[in-house]
Amino acid sequence: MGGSVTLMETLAPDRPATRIPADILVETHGLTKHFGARAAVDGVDLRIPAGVAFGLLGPNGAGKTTLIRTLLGLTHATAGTMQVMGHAMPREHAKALARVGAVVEEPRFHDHLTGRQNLKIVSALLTDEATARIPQVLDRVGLHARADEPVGAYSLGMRQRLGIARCLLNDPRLLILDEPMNGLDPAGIQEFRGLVRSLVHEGRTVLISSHMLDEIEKTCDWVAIIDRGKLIRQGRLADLRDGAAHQVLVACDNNARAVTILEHQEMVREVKVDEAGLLLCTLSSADAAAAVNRVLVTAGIAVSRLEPARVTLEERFLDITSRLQSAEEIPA
Amino acid sequence: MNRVLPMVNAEFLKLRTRRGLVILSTVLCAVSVVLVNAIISIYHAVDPINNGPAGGLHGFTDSLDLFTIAGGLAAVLIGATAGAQDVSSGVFRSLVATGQSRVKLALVRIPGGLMLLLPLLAAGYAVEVLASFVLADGTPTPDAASLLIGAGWLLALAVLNYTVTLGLAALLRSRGTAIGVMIAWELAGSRAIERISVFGSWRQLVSSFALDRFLPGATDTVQLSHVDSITVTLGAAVAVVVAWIVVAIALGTWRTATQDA
Repeated sequence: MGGSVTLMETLAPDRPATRIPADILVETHGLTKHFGARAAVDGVDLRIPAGVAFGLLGPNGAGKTTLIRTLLGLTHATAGTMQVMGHAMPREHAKALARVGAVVEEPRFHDHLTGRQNLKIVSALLTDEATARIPQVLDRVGLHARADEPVGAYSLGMRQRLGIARCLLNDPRLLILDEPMNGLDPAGIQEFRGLVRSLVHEGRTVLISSHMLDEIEKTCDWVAIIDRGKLIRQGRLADLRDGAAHQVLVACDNNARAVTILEHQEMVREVKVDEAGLLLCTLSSADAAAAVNRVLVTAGIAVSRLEPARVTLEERFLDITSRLQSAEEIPA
Repeated sequence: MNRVLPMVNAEFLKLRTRRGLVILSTVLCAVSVVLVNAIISIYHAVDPINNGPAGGLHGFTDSLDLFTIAGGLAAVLIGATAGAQDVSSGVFRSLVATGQSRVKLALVRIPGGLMLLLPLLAAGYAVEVLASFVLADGTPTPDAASLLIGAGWLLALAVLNYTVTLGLAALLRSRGTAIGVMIAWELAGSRAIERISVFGSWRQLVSSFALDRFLPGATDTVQLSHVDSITVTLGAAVAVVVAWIVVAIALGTWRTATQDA
């Protein structure tokens, strides 16, 4: 883990330590998975708290799926330790996974069996209660009417929903969904988002891995960013955004003069005019916004609007990953 | 998690709902027996001097050859499907992610597939036994001992072919490759070894020689050609069949327990 801690500290030295709730469902230390010489997962220290929608965010090939497969015991870790639901994996895999539901990569089924029969196959491995829960979970994902049709005739969206139904059979405390929004149409994505929020509302934890920043931002309240196998950052989504540089948007009656004045102010690190004709000021601290307003008004410039620039997760993600790349490119 | 019985039923469900597999296996195990007896009966009715009856002891003994090919092939098809279907469909990882024992996942396939195969073979054997009496046309009929030995041989044939193919399919993670290897072994591999006299008594390790030792009327001496024979005692035959089954299951289970899902 040493590598990722150092990077995090380097990237955000002024950032307070992330508050981790007491109830941690997944915890890894130095988790590493090599394929030959290549590290697909590299010293990851991950902590997933209970009762949240947790986004595992990273570009394609970042190591998200390998991390999930390692957590679930689908592949062996090369190094490191992990605990799932308080049990050591893979040594106590039966206890660890008893209340975990997972869809890894695209949901796959026996195409010749019906949706209901596919659930029966999995519930046979679980408990009698899981078998009894089949009608309920089919109803929950809206597949009750199509449950007795062969899965081979299902659309991708229906397969995704059946995959979630399969996850719910053991009344899980933790659901792990790998790229669950792949192939869904906008209505399906919106429906999925609602389903995730309802699961979280019930006290379950949902881990969603995705490369779709917008969807993670709309669906999750915690996020971990992974890139090239390393965990770059984890924490509350709001905290992550707050970690960005302090920026304000200013509308005034003389942009050229305002830029000249602000460029000479100590509390302003950078000022530029954005596409909408507003001044985008990067400040040294959050409370410098009032000083900017005062300086402009004192100079006789009319300020009609001054507001914090909202940083999207996408901007923050690109900011973090580009800074990481720059840090790695600095010769030793 | 003692879920053995539901898991076995789940394996059976996966197999019995494969329409093509069930139809083909039924044709091989039972329909073929009806067809062969019908054709021989027609020939016998048309020319009884040159064509013996379908039934009787002779017809019964001949029918066991049919079971070797058709029943053996059905066992191979069902075994290969049972051994590879979870991996090839991509469902294996979902099963592993439940936390259920991988060894148990592998082992429940054995009874699960035999639940489909054995009733089909039993039906075919019942038809053959019936035909051997009804279509005897006055010739001697098999006695109870022959029928029991025949049933025991058929059971050994089914279990051996099924489990070896099951283990092979799990090991290779491929249904088609496992079927190909089994057919190649039966058609070419074992026959080539049979002709290499330098192997001497090591040839009793070939499963088909051991299996033939269980046939009604078989002796310890297996005549391979006019000048070449090997000795296969009943004890050695049992040991060879058990060894093939155990090794195949062990390899398939090891692969299931250790492979990336």
